[in-house]
Amino acid sequence: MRRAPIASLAAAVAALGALQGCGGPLFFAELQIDSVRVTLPSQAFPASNAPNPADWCAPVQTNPPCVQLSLAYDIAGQIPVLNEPNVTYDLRLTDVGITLSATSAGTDLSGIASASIQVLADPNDPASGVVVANYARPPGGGASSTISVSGNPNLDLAPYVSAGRLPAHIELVVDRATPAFLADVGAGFSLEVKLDYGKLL
Amino acid sequence: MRWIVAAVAAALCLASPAARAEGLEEEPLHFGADLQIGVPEGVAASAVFRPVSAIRLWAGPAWNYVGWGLQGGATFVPWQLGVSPLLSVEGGRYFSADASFLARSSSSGVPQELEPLLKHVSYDYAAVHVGIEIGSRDAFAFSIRAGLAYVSATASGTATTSGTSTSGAYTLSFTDPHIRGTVPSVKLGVQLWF
Repeated sequence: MRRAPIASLAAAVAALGALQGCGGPLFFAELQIDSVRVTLPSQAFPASNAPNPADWCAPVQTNPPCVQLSLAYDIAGQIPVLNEPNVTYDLRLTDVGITLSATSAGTDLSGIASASIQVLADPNDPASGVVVANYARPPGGGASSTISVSGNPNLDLAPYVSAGRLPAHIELVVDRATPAFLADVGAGFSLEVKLDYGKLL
Repeated sequence: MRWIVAAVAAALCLASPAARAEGLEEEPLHFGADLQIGVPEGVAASAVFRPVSAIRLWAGPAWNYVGWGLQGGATFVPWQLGVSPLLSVEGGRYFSADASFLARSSSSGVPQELEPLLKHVSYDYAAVHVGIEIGSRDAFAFSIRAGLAYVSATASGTATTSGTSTSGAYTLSFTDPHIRGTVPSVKLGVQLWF
């Protein structure tokens, strides 16, 4: 008569244990943020006629000229939880915005015919990049202080984070003379962080 | 007269154990009240209904210091002794509440930058517990339970912070974070039947 209830309790405990076998840990926490926005202010973009080959997209300048800028998002420094043990995460780019800084008033971005934003598997090798966002100037595009592009939401950027930093590379094809300018480079991400804290218990 | 008493005694002795048990099993009281305190359930007061001896259903308001919610569940108590085992499942919802005082308190450890996110915090939970109940089936009983809870919490708003990292200055903002996960759950309760 009393075996059935004991069996029921044992089954309940076993069911809890079995949850671990359902594809996930028994003790876990997940943080999902659909909108994480990181802005790097006052990034220095070279002029379209930059004389320094280091500012060019290729060893030989193209026509129209293409200039480049490398930067890095210190993801782990800005979101410290990503450094914790037993943490995995999924990071996806939703959008990128390049907005002229106030100190560059008077400049406009209408000379930028196209832009390409890449993340780099090797921070020191621009050729290791994967394009995550593209911009093409709309027909008849007039003076503008902002360029906004959508990111590729299908690409998990976590594998590109190296030593906590996400290296990015921006290339601008400029077909109208544009002086050097400062711009705030904002990137929107979606982030999902998973912590298996059962391993800490 | 002695003959009659002896006959009744003999009848009782010869009666089947089932018949005797039936005679001893009284109908349990159907209604009661319950007060529980635990994590992540908070403090919960419930009206309890017992449709059959082994099953209890309960529901009522809950409070977690920050806000109010509703909760309910079911308990299975397979048998009643002075100390009885129990198995329970429950769920609840805490409605949106303002927990921003945590960010304003230096002792809470919550970063001040999170204050905008804590103005509208709500969570749902579900839990399963095993435990024991000590006391009377039809009067007062005390229970202690432990188990696992699944919690899904949402904070509405946008928090913004600025700083300097190895990449230079930055501004970071995040909007409407959602946290879910499992946490160990324990709770204490007292129950009164009437």
